[in-house]
Amino acid sequence: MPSPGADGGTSTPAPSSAPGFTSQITPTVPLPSDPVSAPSGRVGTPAPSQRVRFVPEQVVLPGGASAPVLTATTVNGQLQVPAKAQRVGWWDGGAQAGDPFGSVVLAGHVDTKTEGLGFFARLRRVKAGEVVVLNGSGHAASYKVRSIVSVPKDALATKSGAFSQTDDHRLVLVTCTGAYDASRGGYEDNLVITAMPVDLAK
Amino acid sequence: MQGRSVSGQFRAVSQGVLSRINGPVIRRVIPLLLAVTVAAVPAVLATPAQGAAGANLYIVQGLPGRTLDISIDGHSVASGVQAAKLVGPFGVSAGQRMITAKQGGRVVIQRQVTVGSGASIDVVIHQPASPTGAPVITSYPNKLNAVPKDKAALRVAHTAAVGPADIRVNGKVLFSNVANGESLDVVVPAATYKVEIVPTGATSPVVLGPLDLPAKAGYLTRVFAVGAPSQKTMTVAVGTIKLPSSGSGKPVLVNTGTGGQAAGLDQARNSAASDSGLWVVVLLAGLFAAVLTVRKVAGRAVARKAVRR
Repeated sequence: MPSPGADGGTSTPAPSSAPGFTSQITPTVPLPSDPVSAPSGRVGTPAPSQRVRFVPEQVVLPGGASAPVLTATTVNGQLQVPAKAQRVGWWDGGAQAGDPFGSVVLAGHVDTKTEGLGFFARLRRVKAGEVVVLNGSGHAASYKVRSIVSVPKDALATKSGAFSQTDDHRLVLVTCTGAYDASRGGYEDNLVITAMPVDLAK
Repeated sequence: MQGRSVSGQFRAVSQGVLSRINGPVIRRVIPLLLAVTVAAVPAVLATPAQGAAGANLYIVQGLPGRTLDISIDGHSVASGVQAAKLVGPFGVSAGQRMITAKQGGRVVIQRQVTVGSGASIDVVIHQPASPTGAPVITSYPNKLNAVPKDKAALRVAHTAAVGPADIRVNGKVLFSNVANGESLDVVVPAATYKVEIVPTGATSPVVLGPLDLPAKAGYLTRVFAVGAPSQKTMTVAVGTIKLPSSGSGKPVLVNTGTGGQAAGLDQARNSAASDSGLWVVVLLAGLFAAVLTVRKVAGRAVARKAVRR
């Protein structure tokens, strides 16, 4: 097995994704004393089959209703879904749209105390075979609904496979359903809709 | 069988590559650099401005059968580098950097590479698609974006002397129609994948593999196909770079309903359905009453007309 820490040089790799990021790399190879000129090397290009991947920023349900998608983080085991009922959260530990493996997980309120019915109340009308679209960063990915199941809330993590990252790529939409018990903080079940990619993300 | 020997070669190569990077190369480079700096004119050698943004270069020696001495801007950074070895990182200033590869004192190839500040770049010395063609240098910037902790970033580059290829992972084509010089990147769950390279659109002959490729969690693994299948020198060079971590763990609880209104809707619908018989009767009774009233009014109007006449 290859040993870890292949990056054993004197410089620290810097993430290049942040604009204006100042690198901490201190060059150890001095500038040339008498520069020689030569042709330029090539720059590698992505093959045409390079996959598109993106963080979803908008979800469009069958029928055309759409909602903004914000990033949702798990804190102390609970997914922090956006408080506003008309917004949906994307679990930041899951796949991005267009990845080859893993679930892209979106969760949203079916209702809230202050706002009434949420955007994901519409999930109760969704049927198998219908298409859900994710948009983000100028890209789009379509998913066809394969299954609609309800699972007891305490079995969501262990029995539904909703959060799996090792299975084939899919879209998973989660909200609440079943009996509502205000004294116990909400609904008994989660509604889990699984949709498979229609094609590669574009 | 070619596949088996190449696979064995890969394991040996990968172990060789990584132990090289950790130890001997770096220890050898620093005394060499010191020797160079002492000999040269002091004014020119002022360490590139403290805090000036630099970049990391890695060099991949992709020429089978050669042992190369690599310099950056005339300064030796690695000697005796064998095929399929990855060396570095070397910290360099941003700008145009001269990469020179020599064997036995003779220049094999020399090219300028443009380096942006803060960049991480793999500079690959390799064959073109035709094994008899002159060597080329292709540089690949490394995307060091964060990944969730159980995911792995992979970048596979086709720098081998063979036509366009498909890269099959665990039996499925994951990258298709990749030509010499091209690369593909992907984020996958961390795991060891069985990789094969075949001519694009075909399932045979397998020009490389099947070999085990570890895609390490939290790292970018760069894979370079190098060599010539037609000359039985096809193999891979591999290097890894630790990435920043993003994302959070799997949720145990998703609580997405705090108002109960949706359940209330269900109840109203359910009870309406069971009382529907009663509603129909009430509706009909109302309609009947309305019809009677209309007839009564119409009757009075006719009577009035009759009276007027």
